[in-house]
Amino acid sequence: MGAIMSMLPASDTLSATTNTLAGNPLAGNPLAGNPMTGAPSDQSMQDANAAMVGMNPLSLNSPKADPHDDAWLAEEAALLAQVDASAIEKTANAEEFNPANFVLAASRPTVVNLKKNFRILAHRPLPQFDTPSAKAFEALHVRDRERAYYALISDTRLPPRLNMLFGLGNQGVQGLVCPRDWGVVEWLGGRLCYAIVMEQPGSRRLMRDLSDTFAPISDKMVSRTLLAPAFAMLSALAARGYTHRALRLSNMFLSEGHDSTVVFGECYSKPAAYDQPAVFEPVESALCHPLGRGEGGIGDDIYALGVCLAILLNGYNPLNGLSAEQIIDRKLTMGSLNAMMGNARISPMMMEPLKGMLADSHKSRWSLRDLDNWLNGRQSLSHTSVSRPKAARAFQFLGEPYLSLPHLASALGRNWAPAVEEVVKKPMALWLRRSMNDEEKAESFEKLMMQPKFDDATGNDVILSRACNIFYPDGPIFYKGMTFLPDGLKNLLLLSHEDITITTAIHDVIEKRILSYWMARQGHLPLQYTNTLESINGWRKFLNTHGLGFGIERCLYEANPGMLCLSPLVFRYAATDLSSLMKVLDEIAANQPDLTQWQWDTHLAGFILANLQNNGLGFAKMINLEDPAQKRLGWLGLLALVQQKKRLGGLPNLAAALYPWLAPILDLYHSRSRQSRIREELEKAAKSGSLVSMMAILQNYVEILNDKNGFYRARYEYTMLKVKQDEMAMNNQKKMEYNLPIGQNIVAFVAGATAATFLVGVVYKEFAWRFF
Amino acid sequence: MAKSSKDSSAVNKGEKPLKKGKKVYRFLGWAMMLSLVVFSPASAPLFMIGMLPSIVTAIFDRKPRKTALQTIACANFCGVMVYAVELWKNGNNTEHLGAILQNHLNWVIMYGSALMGLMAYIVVPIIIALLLDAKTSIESSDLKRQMQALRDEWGSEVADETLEVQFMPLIGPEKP
Repeated sequence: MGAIMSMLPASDTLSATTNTLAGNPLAGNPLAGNPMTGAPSDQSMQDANAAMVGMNPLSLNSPKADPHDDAWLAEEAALLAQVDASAIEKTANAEEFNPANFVLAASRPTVVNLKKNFRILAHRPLPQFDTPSAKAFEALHVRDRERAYYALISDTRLPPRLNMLFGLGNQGVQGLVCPRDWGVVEWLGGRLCYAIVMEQPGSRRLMRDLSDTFAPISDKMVSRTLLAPAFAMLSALAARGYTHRALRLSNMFLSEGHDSTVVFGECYSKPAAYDQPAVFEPVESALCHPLGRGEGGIGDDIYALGVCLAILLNGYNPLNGLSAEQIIDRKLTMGSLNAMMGNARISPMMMEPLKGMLADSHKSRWSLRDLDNWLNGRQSLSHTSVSRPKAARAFQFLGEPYLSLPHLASALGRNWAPAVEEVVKKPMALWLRRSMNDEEKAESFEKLMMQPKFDDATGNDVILSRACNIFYPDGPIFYKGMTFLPDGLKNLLLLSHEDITITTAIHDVIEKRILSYWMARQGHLPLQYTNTLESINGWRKFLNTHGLGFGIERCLYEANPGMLCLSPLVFRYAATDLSSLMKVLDEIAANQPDLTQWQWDTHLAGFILANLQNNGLGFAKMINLEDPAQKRLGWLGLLALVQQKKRLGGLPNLAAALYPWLAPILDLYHSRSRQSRIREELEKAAKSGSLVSMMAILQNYVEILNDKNGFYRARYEYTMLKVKQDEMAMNNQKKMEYNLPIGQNIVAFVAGATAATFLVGVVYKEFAWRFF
Repeated sequence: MAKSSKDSSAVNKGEKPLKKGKKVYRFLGWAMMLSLVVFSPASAPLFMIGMLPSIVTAIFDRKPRKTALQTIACANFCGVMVYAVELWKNGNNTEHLGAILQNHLNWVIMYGSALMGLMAYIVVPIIIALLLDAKTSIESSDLKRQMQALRDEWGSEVADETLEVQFMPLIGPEKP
């Protein structure tokens, strides 16, 4: 290993070591292709560092301190003692956000806490551990001073591979830098960043820059120090269902000590293969947008390992200085093996692994078992290498000749607008039949052209996408300049909230069944795609439902569990799950109790519903109603459901803020006495902080039914009283007309009775005595 | 068959039209008078002269129920009956009839009773109407009070039958 160390260029601890992206990949048009460029020189990196930190010699030139240095330990202890453990110190003048340097280093001692155990020293960058999209800083464990740690700080717009962070935990994998802790921290300038703390792997990278040259490494050395550890590491990952997808020489380190070995760098801070240069990726992955590559399979890691092997055997990168497009074109025309090895002499020992690992077709590429067999001197399973057929006569497209179908498909995918015209108008089936001698593809193409076109403007786009799939079945999906693999679609959703064209394209891909068509043509579907189609069918349902909690935002959270909520209300608090979201809302309510000023938007709703996993559908409907009272009831229902499902304690601030906000809901009870009674009960529940109780009070079945029935009964009574009143009013107008006859009748009756009584009395008095 | 104008005017003013059965009583009345003429020649003139106000009222009372006639006739009858009894006690002859008729006071009593009847017919219905009106006012106030109470408890929307109101919705099985 000392030989390797001497052959490799000396590394300055502060020199640039990574392929830095030319700018923030999220700025500009994400459909413009892979924004990979060559790495800046050491001097420019130093200049960048100087610009970042304001010429503080400590940040620039301080040598890496020996962690066993007592003076250093004393200095750090004094520093930590000055800083309150729960406080985050901000710089006095927050540096202006520069997309090119979005993670800044502090110009004076600054400590950022990551949960309870780690302190990140923001004034001590470690550029030797930088990645293209994350900056490394020194980190300290509060108790463990034996080990050296570093923290990778990156932008929150692209989440890390949370499945690996949760899955690997603290167990680690031999030979791989493993995460010790992670979370969201508030960096300088109040910017939220992801932080992942890992143990420092070694002192130097195998290769700082893709342009480095060195003496070729011997076969034995490379198989012992690279291939064998790689096999062990990849096997351990594969056993847990993970891939690395960040294998490149600049992400490999030599561990310190006499018998130093290769330690493979981190692969968690960004989505899989996001930082990979095109040279290390198989063609179908290199063609994709960095976010569209997906988790991939073990074959992709084997390919990357093969490229590392080829570079080490050559002593240089044969594709150095070429753009990503040029690299892809060369691989498509010459094949990956020829492109990487060229005319170099390959030893018989290395021919087999190079051929197997750099096979362009994933079906004929080596698996881990093949690598294991080779390392142990066993015969590897024979794979039929598939060479791409070439056309007898080239197809001309935009003035360039194309002899192979995958090459043509990649060109069509990159030049979408002219390609649409080409495919629709030119007799390609004829060329396929005569020049390519491929009857099956010609028939498929003819069948495609005969299918009824979609009525909208996307018809030709869909045809072109399917045509590219026919030409290049192993390749990625091309659609309107966006190139991706199926399991990369979920990562592309991360861009959808910034770019409406991506949203539209993803919508089309799902709605027009472009993905289904691609999968149907695969034959044997790779393992990583089996769940993708099912997930995407679920997304179709969300895309077709309009309203809060649905649409592309819902797909984003469904596809990316652990994605932090992007609602402007809570974004800066970095809530990544429902429990943290509720605590954040409670905290916001303490400072901003007027809920009418809150943004109850589709990101918030989508985040909650995605994390509730098919619960809360009734509330989802309510928050989309026009009536503000019912809308608020729906929101309360969702929040209460979260509190219940996550068994959260009281949320007093949130409940107290909700109480006045829910006033319009009480108007849905018509009985005033019931309203005031429920209001009192609601106030009591709000004081306890229980949203569940508040919801239960408002959704009391008996009260609701009694109120409804009571209202109808009251209305009926009122109507009857009104009728009676009207009758009375009418009678009142003619009261004399009605009452006088009554009086006259009474008088007549009384007169008659009086007369009759008088008559009887008189007759009795005067004449009855004669008879009695 | 069209209703008579008398009946229709009575219906308009709230009185019920005279039933046909009442004509029987009219016939009986005439029959009694005839009997009196036949069997008590002295009483008939007394009744005819003494109940002259009633006879005039019968001519001018157009109401179907003849309430004015009833009232005045009954009162008049009472006044005449006093002297009829006296006549019957004293032989039921024309000489005594003459003596009765020559006494001016008797005229006052007979016709005065008719006048009392008339006064009662005019004044008492007014008093009764005023009492009924007061009763109606009380009932009307009570109705208003009940309606106001309903509005206070259930809101003004209880008063409008055509107004569609919303109630607190009961959310389905997803409630916590």
